[in-house]
Amino acid sequence: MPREAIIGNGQVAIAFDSKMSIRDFFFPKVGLENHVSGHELRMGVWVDGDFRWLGEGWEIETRYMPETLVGRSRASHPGLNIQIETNDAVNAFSNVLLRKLMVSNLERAPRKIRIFFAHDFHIYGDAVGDTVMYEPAQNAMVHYKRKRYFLVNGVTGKGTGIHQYAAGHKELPGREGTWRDAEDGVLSGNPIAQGFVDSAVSFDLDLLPQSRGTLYYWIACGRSLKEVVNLDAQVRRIGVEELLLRTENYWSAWVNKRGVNIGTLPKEIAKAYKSSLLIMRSHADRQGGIIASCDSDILQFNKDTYSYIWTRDGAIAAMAFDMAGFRDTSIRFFHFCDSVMADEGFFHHKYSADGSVGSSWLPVEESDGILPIEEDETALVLYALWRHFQRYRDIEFIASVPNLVLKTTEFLLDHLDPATGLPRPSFDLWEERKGVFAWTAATVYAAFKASARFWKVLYDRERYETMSKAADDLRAAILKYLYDPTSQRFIKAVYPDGSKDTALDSSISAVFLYGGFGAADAMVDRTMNAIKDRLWIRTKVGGLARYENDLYQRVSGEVPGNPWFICTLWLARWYIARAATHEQLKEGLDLLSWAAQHALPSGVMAEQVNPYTGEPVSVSPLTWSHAEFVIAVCEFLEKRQEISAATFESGQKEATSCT
Amino acid sequence: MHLSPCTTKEISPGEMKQFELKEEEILVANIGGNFYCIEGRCSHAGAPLAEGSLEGEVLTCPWHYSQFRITDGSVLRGPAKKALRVFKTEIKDGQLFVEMGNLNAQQP
Repeated sequence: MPREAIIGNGQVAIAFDSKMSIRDFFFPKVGLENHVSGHELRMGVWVDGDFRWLGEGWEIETRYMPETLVGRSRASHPGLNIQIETNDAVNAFSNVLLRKLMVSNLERAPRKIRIFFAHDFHIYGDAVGDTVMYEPAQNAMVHYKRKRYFLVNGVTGKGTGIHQYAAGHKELPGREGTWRDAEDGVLSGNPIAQGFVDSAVSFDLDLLPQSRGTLYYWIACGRSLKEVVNLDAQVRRIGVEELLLRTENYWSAWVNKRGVNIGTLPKEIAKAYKSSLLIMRSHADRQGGIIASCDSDILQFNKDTYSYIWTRDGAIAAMAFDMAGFRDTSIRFFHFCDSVMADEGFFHHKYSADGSVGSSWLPVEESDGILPIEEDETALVLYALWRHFQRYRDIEFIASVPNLVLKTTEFLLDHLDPATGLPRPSFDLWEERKGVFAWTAATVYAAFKASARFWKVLYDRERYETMSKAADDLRAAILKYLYDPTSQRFIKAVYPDGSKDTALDSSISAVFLYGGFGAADAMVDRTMNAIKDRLWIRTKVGGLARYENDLYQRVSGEVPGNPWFICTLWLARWYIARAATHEQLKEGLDLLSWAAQHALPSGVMAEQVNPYTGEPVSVSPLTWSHAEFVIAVCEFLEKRQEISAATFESGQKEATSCT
Repeated sequence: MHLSPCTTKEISPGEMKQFELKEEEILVANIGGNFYCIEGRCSHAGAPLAEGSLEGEVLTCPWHYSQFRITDGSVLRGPAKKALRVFKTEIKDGQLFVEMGNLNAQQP
């Protein structure tokens, strides 16, 4: 089940599903630890003896309040004749989940309404040794284990706190959990349970005919009871209403950077641009890691998640943040990279948010000597760092992370194959095969150019010349081994046994995306046209597949694969890069619209979409999808300005929109 | 001072759009061919009004649902209490001009 919205503050990240249930709850880092891990913190309603959990039978829509990381969901149940609107946020300034519920009684009669919250925490990712207890002094429930505490509390608009509570056991024979206890509208009042435990609390609202009541609910997160009790007191003192307002304003101020003029974009694209930045930000930890996705639903397929930092995804997100003017977030990411890089100057497959090496499926095989890495993950960090410097010229910052230039350069040079001049084999960006890939070679080329440019800035002529030559030699090797003169297009890969993979793969776009070859170059043109012709999904959904016969979560054999956001946006970037007129630029704009239209109503972009229904497939959101969207929008704006300037200079005055 | 955010063609009847002029966020709405310009942020909590909804002359804020009359900026429904600033508009050769600095409502 995709995540409809994610909210957070850089230390807490919380994801909601389409039932308005919380399915991922990260604290104290974004990406580590997940205290819900796909289980459910759900909400239920009891009205005059009739009980329903939110989900089946409800009409639910989840969005964000515009320009914020405050979720807004609306749920209505025709049978109960009840409507609930929630505003959900993690306080921007402290680690508290804030929820405001506006409950409307649509009947022409007064009603007793009881709202239930059930908490199926799995603290530190599992339920072994959890405790839940009622704290009479706060009239709150506290879930805890070792150094993680979650205090649940709330108050109605009339000032009444938790009405009933129950602590109980779950996942044991005959003990499903206290959520079952809630279904008769009454909770047992059991004050404590240990082991596999859960809890439920309820609030009473007596609503007049066709009236609305308000309920505020919060979960304070901390490392000790004292910490969460203090946070609880703070929330009571200031009030959820005020804390939500401050959070709305914080995110609105954050996302409205000056300098990028999106006012003239079609409204749906401008809106998706801002929501993409906010969703990306929700995936960025305060200490720098940017996780690929908060969605743990993928656990059901391979018992692992996307809640790791792949430095590829992170570097591309950092580039997007930089292009959009958010240098603070990218700087934190580069510091993170500096702290986790291997001594040899490369990046491992992936990392946890605390900087430890993440789980991996890349094998070390003595027979081939191939490192268990994806080399583009190293190259892209160096390239992104150059792009950052190019924009901000902050040499002091670069000087604070010297190894990101020195050691990565050294590694990438050492990792060249002297026989071919190409990078030695490593794993591809799709994490499926070992070989030398056009994508990887193109990113290493970009990294060499980046390194050369750093040395030029520092007036180190010798190193500048070394790196410039390395870049030129690699470009020549790409032409020699990764270009097929027969088909006159670039190919996907050369494998360690010397065989060539000529299957069309959207990632070959890297040859122009990372500057090796111009977008208008005839070789690129033929390659991209072939990719477009063979990988475009010919259904009403459209979009571009990853590669021919892509089996990963493929919905049907009738299509080459499912359409992916990132692949479709690479095609958009090609249209934009090669455009010489406003008319040609429109092709890129159409694909930006495609991405905006295939996001969820909240703006969340998945990894893939179903080629027939357009529904999200695989993880949702995927940070990389949002990052490619932001990059494509920024490139579109730059190109439009360039074309306008050229048009003006050539004397063909053309009306341009306001800036 | 008159500044032009757009041409009249860029905003269809019933639509509204946000612009930035001289570091001022403004909202331009086309109501039946008449153009109105008000400040772009809600006077209650700063919500981006262009993301709200427009029905006739009534603009509803996207965050807390305050309502304003777009023709004069007056508050029709809270929680907002202060009227929105209104800017005079003029059209010359299809180009919309906004008179900045001429306010008919109290500044926040």
